[in-house]
Amino acid sequence: MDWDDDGMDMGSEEMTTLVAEAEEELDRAEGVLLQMEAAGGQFGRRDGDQASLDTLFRSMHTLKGNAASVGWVEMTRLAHAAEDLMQGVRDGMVTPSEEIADVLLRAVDVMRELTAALGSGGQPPDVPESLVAEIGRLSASDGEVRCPGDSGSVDILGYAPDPPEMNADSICEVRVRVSEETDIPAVRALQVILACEDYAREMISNPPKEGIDEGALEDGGWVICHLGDPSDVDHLEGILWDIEGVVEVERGRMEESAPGPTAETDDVPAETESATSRSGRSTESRQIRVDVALMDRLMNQVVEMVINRNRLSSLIDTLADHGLSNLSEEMSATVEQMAGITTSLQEDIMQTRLVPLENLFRRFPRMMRNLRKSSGKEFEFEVEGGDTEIDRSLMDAIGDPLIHILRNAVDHGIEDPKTREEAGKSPGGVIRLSAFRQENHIIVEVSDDGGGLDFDAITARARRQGIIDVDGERRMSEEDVLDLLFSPGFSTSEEITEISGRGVGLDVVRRDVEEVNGTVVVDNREGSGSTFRLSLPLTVTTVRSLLVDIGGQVYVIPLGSIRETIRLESVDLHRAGETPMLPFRGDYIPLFRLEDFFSGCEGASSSGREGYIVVLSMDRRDYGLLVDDLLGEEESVIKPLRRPIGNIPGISSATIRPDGRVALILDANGLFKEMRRTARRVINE
Amino acid sequence: MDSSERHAHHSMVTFLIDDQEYGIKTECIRSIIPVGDLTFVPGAPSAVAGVINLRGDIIPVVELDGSGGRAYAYGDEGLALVVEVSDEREDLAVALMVDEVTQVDRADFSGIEDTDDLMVARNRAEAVVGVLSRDAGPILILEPTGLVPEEEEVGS
Amino acid sequence: MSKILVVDDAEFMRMRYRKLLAGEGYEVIEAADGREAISVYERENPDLVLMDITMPVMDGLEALKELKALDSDALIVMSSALGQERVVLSAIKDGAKDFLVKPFKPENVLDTLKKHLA
Repeated sequence: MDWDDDGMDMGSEEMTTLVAEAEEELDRAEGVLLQMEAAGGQFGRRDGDQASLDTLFRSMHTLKGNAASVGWVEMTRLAHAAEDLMQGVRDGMVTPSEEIADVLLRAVDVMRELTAALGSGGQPPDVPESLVAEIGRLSASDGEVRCPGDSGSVDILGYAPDPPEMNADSICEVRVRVSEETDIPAVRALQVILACEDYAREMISNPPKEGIDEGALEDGGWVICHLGDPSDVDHLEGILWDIEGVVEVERGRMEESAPGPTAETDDVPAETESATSRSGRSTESRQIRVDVALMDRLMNQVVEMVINRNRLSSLIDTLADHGLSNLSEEMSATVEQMAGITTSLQEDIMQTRLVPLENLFRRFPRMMRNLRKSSGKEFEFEVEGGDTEIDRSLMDAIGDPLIHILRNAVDHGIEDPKTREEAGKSPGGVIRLSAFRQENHIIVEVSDDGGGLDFDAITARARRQGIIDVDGERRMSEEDVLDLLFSPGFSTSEEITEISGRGVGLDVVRRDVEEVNGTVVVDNREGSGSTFRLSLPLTVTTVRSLLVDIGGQVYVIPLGSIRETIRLESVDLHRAGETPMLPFRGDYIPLFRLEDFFSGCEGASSSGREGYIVVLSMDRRDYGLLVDDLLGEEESVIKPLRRPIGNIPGISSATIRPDGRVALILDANGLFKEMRRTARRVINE
Repeated sequence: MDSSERHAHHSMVTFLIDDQEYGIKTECIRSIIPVGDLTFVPGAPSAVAGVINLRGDIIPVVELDGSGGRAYAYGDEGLALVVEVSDEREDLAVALMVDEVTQVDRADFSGIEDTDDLMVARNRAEAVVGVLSRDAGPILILEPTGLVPEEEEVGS
Repeated sequence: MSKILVVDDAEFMRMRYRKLLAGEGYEVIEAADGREAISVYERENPDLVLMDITMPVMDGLEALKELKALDSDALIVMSSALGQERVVLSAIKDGAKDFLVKPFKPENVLDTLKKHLA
């Protein structure tokens, strides 16, 4: 069997359908052809004949399409020829005749044999070359057959790619080129033009919109458009690159092209000319597109440099220890300088990885519109802070969590219009997605003005699902209850709803966010809504941190979560039950050791008075962690921990120390939760 | 073991753990490395002895018999096979602590028989997929996917 | 996962799309002609419509216009054969988001869907 390169990759079910459908279409075609033969030259004039011709054309079209999709070459060739002929007949360019019916009936016979051979695995017949040629001759017999792509494109190519005259308040220019290699390039050019029209103040294109016709773009097509709003350029560029066949998008700012009013009035004729040439210069590529993979590689290399910088610093200390202090001092000056360069290189590369959240946020209005339709709830969806910039990988990481939280807001947050009215609210609610920078974090919030979270329903559900028992429930604070929402397997909706109940819970949201060293918390306003707040680091790859020794092993604590460090011997501890309490800033905070929740990390300080207390701050409260020693600060490069150890509460990731060893990065939030869980368990026992 | 594998010769690395000989197909082994400087991971599944830095990647170090009390404390020197694991979720690498690598050899996998329950019970059942009998004693054949322990729910 | 409405009169093509898309985790619903596509669209509110041009009862172009009238944000990708350039051109003018050129190439189909559903 003569397949093309792709060959056939079909299951038996598909094969059966292919053969059955071919037989069906051939039967249908034969029926029409027999009528055509009987009617002779009269066919096409009677009522219903046009519909029969349509049917015949469609049958050939389907046969060709199915065959082509699996690389069934002979069938495709014959059906394609028959389809072309039938298109001419249907469109009135070729008159139906007995002869046409006869030739096509012979073609149908060959196609039947081809189909039978395919079905049985037998030897397929040869497709007679004469038959294909005869069909082709009949297609052209009326002499009025169009030549695809000749008339439309010739005059179009008369345009040269000169930029349009500029409007003074256009400040950005975008040039787009469409390859002539792509399928139906003219339509791709039209897609480009339509996309640009949405943003452009003025534009020029080759071919011009009105002149676009089917067929080839012999020199490729291009569009130059001027935009008034620089932020539009990003959007437009994103859209353009998504159009197949776009091979070049060049952008330029035209700041020099807005001459002051004096210059403009002084020298009007010359200005027009020079403005044109200036704009040409200004569009020389100041921006280049860089593959994300290349960015990632660059980042990784810089990260390696940071590790080596740390390693060098520690080597210098070793030199000093060996009495080579002169050498050590000299080297440390050099290393210092290198460290400075590494840091700025790192900052620059991080800068290039920043993208406005708008790139993510623009996906949501459409989703929310659909949810509005399918949920029957009424709400406005507001988006703020899309211009907040964030590392690209962080943006990718929070996409799914945000979808989940937004769906939750529709599904569980906003009440139906009737309930809202009964509660004295407007029938339509508001869901707001906002982003902003807060110190060293990017905050992304989803808030709704719905009914808020129902604590009773949450605890009842958690009890039914065995997440808590009755005793546990009694001792739960509001915070504990909110925390239940993020427990694995927890879902508040009784029935699995289509919107947010597909078995993926908020625990996955939390896991995804914590994976990139972020946190997620929920604020509840009973009766008037809730807010989910994601707090994300500015960068993904390094964190300023304190190194501590616990039980002879080095751990890393991000400085962002540390409030203070205190010498253990300088404080008087109190006790609340089993838990030691530390007086801290006029309050008492609980003091924990790592071994309280993980066995195998008993530290020296667990019994004696040596050691330090690291006071960690959480979203809502502080606590102390007892460590054996403080080892100094460093810029730690974050490395992910993967399965099977990727999901331990309290340990977010790891870093590689200058000596090549791995040190674990502690997560203050996760530790605290784990601690309270352990404390509850101890009490319950 | 599916039938096609039974009839194939594969190159195999054999090694000793607690005087028992094991084998893994060579194609799954990335390298054989000395392991010192193991970092203990609190809360990790018991089969995970810790993590190491392998050229900038952090690789979990697993023991075949995690509950056997063969503790590789921080700083212990040992030998590990870096095994590449591809399961339905992702591609991973884990380092398997071994006592000694005995040989790299071609073995006729058609000789592999199912393990009896007794033998499996002493080991991580999901890792041992068969046994190859030899004069020098049986070789237990390990399947890389079985070397990745399930994540455990900590604290519950 | 996104819900895709596949509109094609050829059962074989619908089957191929279904296998391909379901294998990638998409939810696939089907219609055999333009008219059916409209009623299925109203009922199911799919995320994207993948529609053949040549179909009985109501062809793809007409269905496109009706769907856009019904939902101006409808995301519709036309599937066409080479030789239907003129029709594709008018489909784009009528608001089709994109088009796929037959024959069916799995990676093209998936790329196009991914692009528009991103």
